[in-house]
Amino acid sequence: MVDETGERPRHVDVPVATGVTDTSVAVKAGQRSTFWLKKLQVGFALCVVLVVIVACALSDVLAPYDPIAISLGATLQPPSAEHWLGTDQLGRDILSRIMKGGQVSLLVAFTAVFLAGVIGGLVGVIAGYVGGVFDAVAMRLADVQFALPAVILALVLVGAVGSSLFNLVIVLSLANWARFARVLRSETLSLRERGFVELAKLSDASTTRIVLRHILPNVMSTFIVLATLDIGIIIILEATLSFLGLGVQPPYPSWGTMIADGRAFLEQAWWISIFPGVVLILTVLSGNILGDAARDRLSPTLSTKW
Amino acid sequence: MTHAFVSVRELTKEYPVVTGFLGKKATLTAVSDISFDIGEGKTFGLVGESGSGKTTTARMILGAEPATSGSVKIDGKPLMNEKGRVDPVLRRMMQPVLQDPYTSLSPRMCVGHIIDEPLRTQKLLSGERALAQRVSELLDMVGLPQDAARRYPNELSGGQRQRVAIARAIAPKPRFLVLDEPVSALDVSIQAQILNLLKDLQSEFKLTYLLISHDLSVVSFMSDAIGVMYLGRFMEIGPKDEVLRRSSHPYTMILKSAASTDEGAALPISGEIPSPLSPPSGCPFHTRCPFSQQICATTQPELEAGPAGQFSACHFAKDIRAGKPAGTCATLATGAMGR
Ligand SMILES: Nc1ncnc2c1ncn2[C@@H]1O[C@H](COP(=O)(O)OP(=O)(O)OP(=O)(O)O)[C@@H](O)[C@H]1O
Ligand SMILES: [Mg+2]
Repeated sequence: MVDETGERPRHVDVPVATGVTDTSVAVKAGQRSTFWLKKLQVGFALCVVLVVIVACALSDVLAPYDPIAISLGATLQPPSAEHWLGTDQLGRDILSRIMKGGQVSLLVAFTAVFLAGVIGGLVGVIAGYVGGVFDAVAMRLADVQFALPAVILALVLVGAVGSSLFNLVIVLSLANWARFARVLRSETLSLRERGFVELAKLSDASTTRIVLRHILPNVMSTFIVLATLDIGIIIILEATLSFLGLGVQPPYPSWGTMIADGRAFLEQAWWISIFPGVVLILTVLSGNILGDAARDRLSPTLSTKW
Repeated sequence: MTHAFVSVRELTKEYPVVTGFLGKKATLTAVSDISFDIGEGKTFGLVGESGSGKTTTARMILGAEPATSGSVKIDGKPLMNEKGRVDPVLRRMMQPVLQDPYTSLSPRMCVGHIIDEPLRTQKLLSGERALAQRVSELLDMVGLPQDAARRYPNELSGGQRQRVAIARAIAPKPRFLVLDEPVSALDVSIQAQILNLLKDLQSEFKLTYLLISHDLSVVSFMSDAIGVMYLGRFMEIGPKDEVLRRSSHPYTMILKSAASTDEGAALPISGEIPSPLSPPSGCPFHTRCPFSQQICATTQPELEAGPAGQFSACHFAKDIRAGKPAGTCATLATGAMGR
C-alpha cells in the first residue's frame, strides 16, 4: 500500500481488509494458542505502559526519595528494603530517579511524536492532495531524512543548536517526521481518487474543506497507528542522545543518562545501569506491541516496514 | 418534440499515455466524436462493454474532465464559459450518482452530513435547523428512515447506501442527473427497487437522466433513447424501441442476444474488446463482427440515418433492416432479428 513512486493512478483499488478477521473468525486449533498469546501480550503491554505512565507522571508524589538529593552516606547500595532498586555513586535512589527520568523521557517522547506527527502528517496530506512542486520538494526532504541515520541527524542538529530540553524535542521531531509524511501521502493519493472526493469537488467544495472533512478523518486511524509505533523509536533515540550527553542534562535524570552514568560502575553496582535499561526495554517493547495491535485493529493493510 | 435539454456535439477525449518499457508516447482515444441530445425529463441510456468510454463521456458532461474537442450545452447554455471553467449555474443544475456506493460515501461522515454537503458547499441553504429539515425531507423521498441521518455508511446495506447517494444528488434540486452504473454494484433484487425509485423521482421532479450501464436490460427499462457505444464511438443510436426492436447494427444484436435468456439464439462473438490504444482499421467492430466483409476492414462507416430516427454505423445497416444481412451469416442474423 505504501506507494512511493509518485504515480497517481485514476482507479485505485480499495484495499481489502484482510488480517482483521483472522482473529475473530474461528481459528484452527494450532492458531488458537498464538491467538491467546497475542491477547496476553497486549494485556501485558497495556499494564506495563499504564504502570510506567502513572509512576512517571506522578513521580513527584509517588517517588520514595528526592531523585536529585545526594546522600554520600548511602552510595552504591545494592537493592534492599530501603532502596528497592539500590542507589547510585552519589547515593541517589535509583527507583526515584527512574520515575523522574521517565517523566522527562516520556514527556519529551510524547511531545516529539506529536510534533513529528502533526508536521509530517500535514506535509504528507498536502503533498498527496496538492502534488506539484510542494510534493516534489517535500518528498526530497523526506528522502534526506531517511538517508541520514536518525542518530547522526540528531547529533548534527544538537551540535548546531546546542542541547536543551526544547531543542531536544525539536531535533527528535525533525528526525522523525518523514515516516508520517510518506505513509500519509500515499494514503491521501488513494483517497483523492475515491468517489466521495470526486463528488465533493463536483459540488464546489474548497480544497480546505476536502482536506479537513474528507482526507484527514480518513487518515486518522493510520496516524494513530504510526504515532503509537513511533513512540518507542523516539524513546530509544532520546535515550541514545542522552546517553551520548546530548540530551537531558544533569542533575535531571533521564533513562539514557542513567544508563550512561552507571557504565563506570557496572562491575561493583550493576543496578545503576541495568534497571533503567530494563524499564526502557519493557516500555519500548510494550509500546510496539500496542502499536501492532492498533494497526491490526484500525488499519490492517498498513505495513509495519517502511 | 421536446427541446434538447442536454446537447452533446462531437465530443472527443484523447489521453496522452506512455506505453512499454521505452516509455513511448501514444494517444488513447477514449471517446471519439460523440453527439446526442436528451430531451427535458427524458432518459438517455448509454450502453457498452467495459472500456467503451461511457464513464469518460459522463465525466466530460459533468465538467469533471475537459474535453479534447467538441461541446456540451445544457439548457441552451455552453457548459464551459469563456474562461474554460464550468458554468457555476450549470454545475448546480446537474449531479452525479456513481457506481460504487462503497467508495462514493465517506466512511467517516454521517449520512446527514453526506447528504447536506452540496447544500453547504454551494451555499444553497444555511442554518443547521434548515439543513436538518431538508435532510429529513430527502430521507423520506428516497425511502430511508429518519434515524439514518445519524448513521455512518458502514452501518448501511448497499441498496441503502445508494439511496443515500441519490438523496445527496437530489439535495440541491438539480434538473439533470448523471447516473454512472447506478445499480451494477447491487444485488439484482435491489436493482429493481433503486431503478423504480429513480423513475419515481424523475416523474416527480421532471429530472433529465443520462443513464450509463453495461446491462442492456437496465437501459431498456429506464430509457427513452439509447446509444450503443463501442471503443469510444456510437455504433447505433436512436429511440429505444427502434434500437432494441429493429436493431440495425450487429453489435446491438449481439448485446441483445447476450442479454436474452434464450441460450440457443446467442450470436457468436469472438475475442476480447481491442485495445483503444490501437483500434482496428475501418469499422472498430469488424474484428469481432460475425458479418464482417472486406470493406469493413478498410472503410470506417459513418452513422447513417435509418427510417425511424435511429442512426447506425454499419455498412450493411440497410441490408440488416431489410432482413438480408450480407455474407454467409445470413441465417444467424435473421435468427437474431426475429426477436
Ligand atoms: N485518466 C485516464 N488516462 C488514460 N486512459 C484513460 C483514463 N481514463 C480512462 N482511460 C481509458 O479510456 C477508456 C474508456 O474508459 P471509461 O472509464 O470511460 O470506460 P467505461 O465504458 O466507463 O468502462 P467501465 O464499464 O469499465 O466503467 C479505457 O480504455 C480507459 O483505460
Ligand atoms: Mg465506467
